[in-house]
Amino acid sequence: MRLWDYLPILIFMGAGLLIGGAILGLSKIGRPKPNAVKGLPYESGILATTPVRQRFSIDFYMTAMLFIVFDVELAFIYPIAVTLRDRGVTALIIMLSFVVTVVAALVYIWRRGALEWR
Amino acid sequence: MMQPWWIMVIKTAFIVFVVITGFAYALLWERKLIGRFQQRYGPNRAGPLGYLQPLADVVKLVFKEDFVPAGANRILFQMAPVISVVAAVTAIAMIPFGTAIHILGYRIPMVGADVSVGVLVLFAMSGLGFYGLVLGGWASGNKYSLLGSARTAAQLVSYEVAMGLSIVGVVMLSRSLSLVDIVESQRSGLWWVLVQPVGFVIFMITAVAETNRPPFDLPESESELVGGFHTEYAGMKFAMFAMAEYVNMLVVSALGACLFLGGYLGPWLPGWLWLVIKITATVFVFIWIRSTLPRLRYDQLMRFGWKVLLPIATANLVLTAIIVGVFFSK
Repeated sequence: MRLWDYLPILIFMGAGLLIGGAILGLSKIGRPKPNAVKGLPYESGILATTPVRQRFSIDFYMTAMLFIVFDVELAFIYPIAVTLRDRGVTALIIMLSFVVTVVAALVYIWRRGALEWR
Repeated sequence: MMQPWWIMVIKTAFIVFVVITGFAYALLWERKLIGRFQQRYGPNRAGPLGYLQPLADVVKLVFKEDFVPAGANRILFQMAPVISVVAAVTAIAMIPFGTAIHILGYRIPMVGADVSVGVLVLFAMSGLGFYGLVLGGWASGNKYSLLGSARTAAQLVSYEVAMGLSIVGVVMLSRSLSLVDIVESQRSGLWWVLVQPVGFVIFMITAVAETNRPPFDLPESESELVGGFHTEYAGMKFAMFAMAEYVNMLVVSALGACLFLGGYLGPWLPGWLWLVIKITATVFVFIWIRSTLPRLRYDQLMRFGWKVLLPIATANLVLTAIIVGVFFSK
């Protein structure tokens, strides 16, 4: 059964949880004695005056959107890549027409300046 | 016969033990090498030649005061390092270290999980690992951490695209996404690095970026963000982030070895030893890069990822696809 092959992944996850949990338990040995001054956020010794969660640059959101476009491209390319040698030129034409579309999108966002980091 | 579950458990325990030990010594080795690169000795006091240094570090870190800052989200703050460790440990499962052996009538593949989409599962796990870094930075309630985690997210997703594209050439040539099959497809001695040199170089560059190592260590850049996403972490929670980073480095080196350098294949020596040799060589290159190159500026980093690596990776993909599709199709 092919699903059986995936069982070790769960076992490895279990091992990871075991290690992570054990280390988290170990970290209690240090006996934290928190006080008000220790609990302040570290800002190189200066008292924090502005709220922590501020708005930040639009570029981060832009990158996230671009990532989704290209990661979906990648997800489509893998299956074609696996069968390319068996299907020959047919698969090649399918793949190239897809890649050309994505590259056209890349050229467009490049020229619109979405890749500039301000 | 298929391997029963108890063999899987024994194998998992063994592999994880070896890799965790490997992590401890990769860390020591890095400190020693960085020392040599900077014309000093590096750690050499704890035990013979400093080889008990990892143990001393653990003892020190366990007894550090390890509190949760007042402004932090308590649950996420403690969960984040565990997420990183779980993702890193799970990724180890995909790395093959030898051909299958037969014991007691069971066929036991020398890999944690012999699945048909191993490369994809490995990428998925490294993607999950980002959550640890991003959530940890966000939950700390600290501006440095928040900036660090925003940078982590943007950097890692940018370089993941180029990394994914750089290995498509190998997938085309070996007609499989299973790491065992990819290694076996190089049995003729023709390692894919010889056919896909551009893909290999892009893979190595993105591998450095994906593991947050210098010159791409913007998420934790200590000269501007103190510690980035782990500014507020101390003691064993900090150690967990370090562990995840080094295990990821070992896994990505092993992935590079399997995809481009023939994995466990090689003459005379046993397979696992070849894999260890190749991983060691790759890790040495990582450390060498770290001690040679200065850190990039953030806009340079993003420009390099999107405007240099991505177009080159795409061109390499198109060229390989045309050559493989026209001349080497079955």
